[in-house]
Amino acid sequence: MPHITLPDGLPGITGPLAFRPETARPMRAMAEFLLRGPNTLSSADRESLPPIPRARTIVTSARQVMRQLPLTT
Amino acid sequence: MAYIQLPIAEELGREFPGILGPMTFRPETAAPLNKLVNVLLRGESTLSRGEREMIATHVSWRNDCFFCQTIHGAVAAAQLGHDEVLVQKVKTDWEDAKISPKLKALLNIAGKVQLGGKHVTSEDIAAARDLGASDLEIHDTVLIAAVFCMCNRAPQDAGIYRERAALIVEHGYTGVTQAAIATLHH
Repeated sequence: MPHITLPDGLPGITGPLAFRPETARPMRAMAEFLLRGPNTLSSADRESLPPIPRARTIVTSARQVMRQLPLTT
Repeated sequence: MAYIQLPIAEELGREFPGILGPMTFRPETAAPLNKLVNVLLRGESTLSRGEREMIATHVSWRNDCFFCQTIHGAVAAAQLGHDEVLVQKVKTDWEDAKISPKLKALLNIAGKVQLGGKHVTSEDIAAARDLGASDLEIHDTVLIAAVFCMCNRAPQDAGIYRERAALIVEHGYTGVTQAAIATLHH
């Protein structure tokens, strides 16, 4: 159960994203660029934590953000 | 020295400080990140800009990020009647700071988020709500804390201090200052 009232039927981060479109927009843009934008790492590698320190730092940090957002008990 | 080669700021003779280094390195990620922080810290909100900057400052202090706690502490103070003492108190002793009970409850949540989202309890949320916090204020507090946990991890400034330390060890404090003054005359 989320701590705040989120739109129904949206799992994980998608609930908070629908709750606050103003913050969702730049977050989606960043995720899109980091995971699917032009890169020497494949999208698959980026989705599975690539073994390159800088990229790993960004992806890990982004995941930390995502994990904290659902506000679940 | 940062671990990766960052752009050099000509006027500084080294990388831009704090997260500005990585941001100049990667404008494509800096743009949405800045948009997000603009919405959270400067966009329309029932929390004042000063209050939101205090949340960012507190989390940055918890993450031991010198650059972020200093710059956001300064931005907070600038929007809180230049009360730098208050901002300092919000970092280290926020429970006794002269801020609203609601902001204290939100800072408590932000502090738990800094430890990890699962540290936030129903009691923490209920306490904030009882003091008048809305769902949107709770959401934005969590997102400010989470985003700063990301930004606080980007800067790798320790190298700058190591370089300064090496110069001081080699030339002493007077020598370092004289060298700095000499560069001003060239």
